[in-house]
Amino acid sequence: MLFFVANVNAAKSDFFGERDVVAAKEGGQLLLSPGAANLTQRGLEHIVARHWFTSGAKGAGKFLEGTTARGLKDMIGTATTKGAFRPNTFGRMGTIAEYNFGNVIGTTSKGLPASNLRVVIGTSGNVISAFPF
Amino acid sequence: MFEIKYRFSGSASSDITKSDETDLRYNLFLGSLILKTQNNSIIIDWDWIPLIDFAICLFTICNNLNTKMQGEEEFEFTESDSKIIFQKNGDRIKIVTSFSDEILEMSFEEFQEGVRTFYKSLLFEVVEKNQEIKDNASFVKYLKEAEKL
Repeated sequence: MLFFVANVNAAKSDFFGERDVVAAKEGGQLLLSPGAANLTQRGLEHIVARHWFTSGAKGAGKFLEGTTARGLKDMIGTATTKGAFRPNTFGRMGTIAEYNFGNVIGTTSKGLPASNLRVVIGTSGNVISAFPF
Repeated sequence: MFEIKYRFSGSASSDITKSDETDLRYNLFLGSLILKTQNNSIIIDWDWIPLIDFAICLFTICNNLNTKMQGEEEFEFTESDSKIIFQKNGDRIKIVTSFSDEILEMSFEEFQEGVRTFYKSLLFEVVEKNQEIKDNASFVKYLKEAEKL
């Protein structure tokens, strides 16, 4: 296993700003350690389209009504600093971070109360998607 | 008989030549699916499923299971905690999901044929409707796989 330090500070819109992150490269997957995810405008728009309480997307987890962009960023920050990490599946790039908040943050794909957050992080360290489950 | 029917939910964005692997697997060519045997079907009419990603995953699952007499592979959707579980037992395969009561069963040979047909049909249709995607390096490697089948 090869460990290296990556500086993930390229995007001006990054919520987390400049920070060095420790990353591990394993089997072609970039496994980011806690603190590595950046929520860009594009990532935010993707999440809003599919997982916001206003979204009509079927079969997808939704955030609680009243969730703000700031609240979402905070939750992503928590999940990517305190959560459990695993590689993305079937050749999908990047890493998945999951965290249980211990309180309801939204609904699962079945519409049941959800307290877990899954964050999909690309190899660049940007958030691809995030949703409650 | 095993068939995977699909429907695109909209047209692709105009920048598909520059789209990267993540775009292909999360953002482009979204749609809905039906997994179908002679007697049962699992309908996944969510409109947001990245169909190319689904085809790639299914193709990989099929190849992984092909090397085993018994085994299980679990498909995770890109935007959902829902799962599809593929259970191979000898020359039979069972498909169960976390979101439907329907269970599909077929021979592994039928499954393999259905997956290959879906993979080819989807990728060839994407090319037919979006000729410019032939310039997308991320897509081309999957297209080459389809052409080999």
